[in-house]
Amino acid sequence: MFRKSLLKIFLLIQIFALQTSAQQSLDIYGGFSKLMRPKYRVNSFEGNTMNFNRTIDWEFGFSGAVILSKKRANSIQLASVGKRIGDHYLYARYTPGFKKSFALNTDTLVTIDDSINVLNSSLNYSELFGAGYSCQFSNSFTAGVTLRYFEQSYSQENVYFYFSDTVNTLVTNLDYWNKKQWRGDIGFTYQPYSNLLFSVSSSNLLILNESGGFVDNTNLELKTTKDAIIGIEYNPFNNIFLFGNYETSSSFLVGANYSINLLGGKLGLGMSMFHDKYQTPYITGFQPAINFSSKILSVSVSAIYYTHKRSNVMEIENLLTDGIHSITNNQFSYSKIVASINLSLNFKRKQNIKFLDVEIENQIFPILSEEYIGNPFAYGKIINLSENSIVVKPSSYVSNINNDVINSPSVTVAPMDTALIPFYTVISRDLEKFSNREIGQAHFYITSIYNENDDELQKPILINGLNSWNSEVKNLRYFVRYNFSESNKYSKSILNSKKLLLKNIDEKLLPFKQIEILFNSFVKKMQYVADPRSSTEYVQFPTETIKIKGGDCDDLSVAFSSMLESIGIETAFVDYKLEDKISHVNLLVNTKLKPSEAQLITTNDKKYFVRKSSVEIEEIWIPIEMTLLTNFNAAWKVGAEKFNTEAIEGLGLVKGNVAIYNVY
Amino acid sequence: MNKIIIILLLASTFLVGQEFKVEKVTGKVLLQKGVEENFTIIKKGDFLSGNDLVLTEKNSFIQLQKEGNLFILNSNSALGLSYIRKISINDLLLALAMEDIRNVPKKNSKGIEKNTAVYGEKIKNSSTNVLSENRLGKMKINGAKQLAQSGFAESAIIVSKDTFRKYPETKLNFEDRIYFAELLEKLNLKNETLDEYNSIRKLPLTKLQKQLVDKRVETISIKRINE
Repeated sequence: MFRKSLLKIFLLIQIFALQTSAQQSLDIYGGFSKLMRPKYRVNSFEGNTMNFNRTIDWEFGFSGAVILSKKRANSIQLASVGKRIGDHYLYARYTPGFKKSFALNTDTLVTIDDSINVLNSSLNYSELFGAGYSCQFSNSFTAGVTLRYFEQSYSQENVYFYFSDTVNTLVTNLDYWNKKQWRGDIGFTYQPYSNLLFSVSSSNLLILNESGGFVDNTNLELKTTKDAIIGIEYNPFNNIFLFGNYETSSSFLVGANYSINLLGGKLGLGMSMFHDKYQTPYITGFQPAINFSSKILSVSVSAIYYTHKRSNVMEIENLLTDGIHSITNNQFSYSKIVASINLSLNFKRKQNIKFLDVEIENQIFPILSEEYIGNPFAYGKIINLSENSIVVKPSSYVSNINNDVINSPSVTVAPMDTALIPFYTVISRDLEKFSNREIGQAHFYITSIYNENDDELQKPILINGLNSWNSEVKNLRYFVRYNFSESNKYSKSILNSKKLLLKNIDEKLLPFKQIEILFNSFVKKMQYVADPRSSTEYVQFPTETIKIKGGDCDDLSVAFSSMLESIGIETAFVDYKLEDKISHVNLLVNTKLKPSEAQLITTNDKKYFVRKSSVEIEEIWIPIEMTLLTNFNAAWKVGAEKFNTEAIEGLGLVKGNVAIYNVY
Repeated sequence: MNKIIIILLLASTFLVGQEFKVEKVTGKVLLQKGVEENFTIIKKGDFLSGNDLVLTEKNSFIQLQKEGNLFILNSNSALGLSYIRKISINDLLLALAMEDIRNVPKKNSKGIEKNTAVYGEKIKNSSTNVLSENRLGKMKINGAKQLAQSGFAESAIIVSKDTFRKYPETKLNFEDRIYFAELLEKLNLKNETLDEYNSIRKLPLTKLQKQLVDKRVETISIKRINE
């Protein structure tokens, strides 16, 4: 005998309901702005579909929740692992607490052998695990994808009758349906300014059903409405951060954070409120949160408070009409407290300083080796990624010119600031070995606290041959000094041949006469030859000019200067800068005569220039045109005329059109 | 054909830059062209270039004309004709700034040591005659004063500075130094005037001269503070 009463299901008993997020973008960690530049994961896939993260290396996360229902329940929510590899970030999470189960009580009664049985049904939803990948394409742009795996099942007890010739049987059977599916989403963040960030991400973009379905009860399956989530975050003041997410299904979330430095770490406070289209009232709930992060771990406690009170037993009507859109935040979710701990394990050292670029200012001219000690050959643009001022130690190594790494002076860089740092070098290779032009590799290093390099960068650099010159007249002095002893021998041999003449010269006039004798002897053998390679880039050494008996104005000036300097007569190069930027070079030579003795050598005061020596003695210097290879008097006259007109009367010396560079 | 010759003559006149015409000459007036060593005598009707130096001996003078303007150089004077022109205050300041550029920079101890050996036998106690440089210097100072009197104060200051440097005896003359310091003061160049007075202070001065300079320095310093 049995009595069957088939009624509609009218009650739903929620026996277990845990959640991580309201609407789609409510976050288990409490909602913290990405602009706070957290070093830990402070939001999960729900609030961060693009998987945006600033973790340095490994990060392990664990979350637990206390459900604030009448029947308190505790649950492990999430265990996760993340790893950064350069600009790429990988994340995986196991989510045992992301599930929701319903026991469905019907009014169907079955009496079998005097016992009355109620036919029950159950409904289970769970998100088992997920994985994410993101790539930081630039300082301002990040893109990422997430993939999550869901399972859902529905079981229902039914009564079946079996008829035969002898006996009729009544049996209760449990029918079972399940569905497994993958959900994939994408997201992007764009940060045009340090205090402004935009994000856009999808919800349920890609649905891949692995198996099954609820057949006649598809309305009980998880809803997979496609949505876009648009976010904006703004940092108007130092420690205040505002953020908001809008979902195209008309749900939204807005919140604010306040952050302060505390006990060597950072304390963040947050408050957000949210509206879920499928829940009432309009402001569905609030989410206060607190987070403290230190060097190795981050602890968050967040609460989700629903403004509409939930009870253990609820009517099923809106389950049948609206369905479940989110396992973790729906019309049957309870208020709760979620505690999370994230542990950071940095097996690689944190990068404090980063190169933005290095600009090589100059090619390497081996003959100018002394110049590189005082003048940088390259400048590096760097950024301090840390929140503290850092002393940066730059160093460089240029293959083919350095035997070891060359350290440059340290520079202090303010937090999050950029700086231009100079790189100096020393030419340690033998100069004779620089016979031809070659391309070398310049390695640039920056180091902050530790001895390891924070960053390094490599750039090709042109290393010129030994005769190459950078067209700066002041640098001709390095050619003068090269092989000085040979110039000395040459001058000495000429002066020795005029010993008798010099014997009868007034002591005061001796340097002047030596200049005259050396010039006349030198030019007699010389021929002016324009440099076929490029007169501004190739300079002969004095020995070469003497040997090949010719050269252009640079070569002849360098050779004659070297001859005079080698016997103790001071010289200086006069650089006449022409409009086409090609210089003409003359020599100024110190006669050692005092102005009161000028009439010993000339009656015309335009032919000399009075200079005060480093020991405050005024001395007569004479300009000599080195391309006039006739005789000393003619070269002096032409040199004086040019110097007087352009340097003195034309004020070239003060206007910058004419410059004097002492050889020593 | 004649027209072509005339044009060529005018062009050549322009090209050699004969800017001054000698209107009057009295006594012995000499000319030193450009950077030449020798002197020639100037005659009435000669054309002189801006690069030339004119010297008037005792009891002589010269009157020059350029673009309708006359310039007279009295006896015992020397003047480079390029200075007979109006110079802006800016150019004057630049010319004064050139004083620092003239100095040889302090020696850098780095680098190869210089060879200081002297080749050739030295002759000691030489009695070579040195021509008196002071006379030409004095003549140039006279020329500079006449420039100032003719309204070319800026040029006159430049000439005086050049002369004091090239003819060191001239810079010992207190009156001359004061004359050109006052010129600077009149041009309201306070810093330069102070520098000049401070330089004059270093000369061997009498008590009265020293008091005069100190007073001038004090007056200018007060003016500068009050500005």
